Amino acid sequence: MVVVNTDKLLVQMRRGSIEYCVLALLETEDRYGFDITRELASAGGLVTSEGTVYPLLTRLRNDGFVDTYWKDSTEGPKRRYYRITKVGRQALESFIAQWKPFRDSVDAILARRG
Amino acid sequence: MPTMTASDELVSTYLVNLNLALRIVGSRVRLEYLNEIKEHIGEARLQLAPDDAEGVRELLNNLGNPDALAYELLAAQRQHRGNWWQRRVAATGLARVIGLTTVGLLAVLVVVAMIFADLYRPLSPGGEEGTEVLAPNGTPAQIVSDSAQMDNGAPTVFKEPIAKSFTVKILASLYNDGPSSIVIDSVGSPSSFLQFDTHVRFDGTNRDDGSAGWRGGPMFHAFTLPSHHVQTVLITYRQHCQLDEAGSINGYSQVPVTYS
Repeated sequence: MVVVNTDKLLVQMRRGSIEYCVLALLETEDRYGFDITRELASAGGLVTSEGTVYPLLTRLRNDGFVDTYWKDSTEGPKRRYYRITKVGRQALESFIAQWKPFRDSVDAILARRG
Repeated sequence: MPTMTASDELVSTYLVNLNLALRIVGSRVRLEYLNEIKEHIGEARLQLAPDDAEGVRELLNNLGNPDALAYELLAAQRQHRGNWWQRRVAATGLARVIGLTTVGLLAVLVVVAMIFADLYRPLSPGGEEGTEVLAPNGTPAQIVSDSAQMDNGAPTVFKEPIAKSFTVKILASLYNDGPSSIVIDSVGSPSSFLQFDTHVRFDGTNRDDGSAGWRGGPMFHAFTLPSHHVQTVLITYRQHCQLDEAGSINGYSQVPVTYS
């Protein structure tokens, strides 16, 4: 009997797609880290540990997909907001163009199981 | 004087543990990450009652285990470095690569000339875990590399202290990415230069008071490193100045380790 490690499976599926989910969240509005984290967590299955989102945001910034700025908050100290860049939008468009046919192909194969 | 609530203590303990776990990443990355986590906790606590210890416990639980987060951050950092070099090569094209190589070779020639002129001898014990070069009086050597490049993963370059010998300390992490445990039998110095007084200790607690150096833990001995675990070691050695040797910039990215 083959036992599939579902945690590992999820990690592999998240890898390569979650950063584009972040870019998609930022496409419509700028967001701060806590806001992004909670949005991803509420989507279910996208993050297991909220703390892992911050290395991802750092990587997106280092890659030039997002930039940041500080903004006053009425609820507490200033917040660091993340904003998608032009390069980030292009990367997101490329991902979407690849993702849909890929997802459809996987679904089509899985659907054959009946 | 304000007293700490149970919630405050939970947060404080978590941040201390996270800070300790983050020793495996560079100090700049560690501080940035700690600040982000503090901001996250601050935001989340705005939605909780001040003494809601259960809520804070859940919040910290959702953030994740400090050791796992540190490992994740390290993996992200390494992936970024790999991507950075790939993008660099892809973006520059052959002509630029040749141009950069020529400039690099010229720079090395200049540095070698300076070494022979007894003016300057570069040391670049890189490594993301950190390296420092100390003069005999314990003061840190001057860093001469470009900080923007260091942000992008380029090794730190130290200017050699004016002395007959100097101390090099390297904080290195040993990773077991294999599926089973291994026994680490010995750890050596990564330097090929003439050296003496080599010591290896477990861990190295960074002196957060701002002074130079690391405090080493117990002396190294053979130990078992479980699968997917990390062990940090502090390698210390003294190195002679060898002015007659034509050196170039030396980056250490691998530590000689014997294991079974």
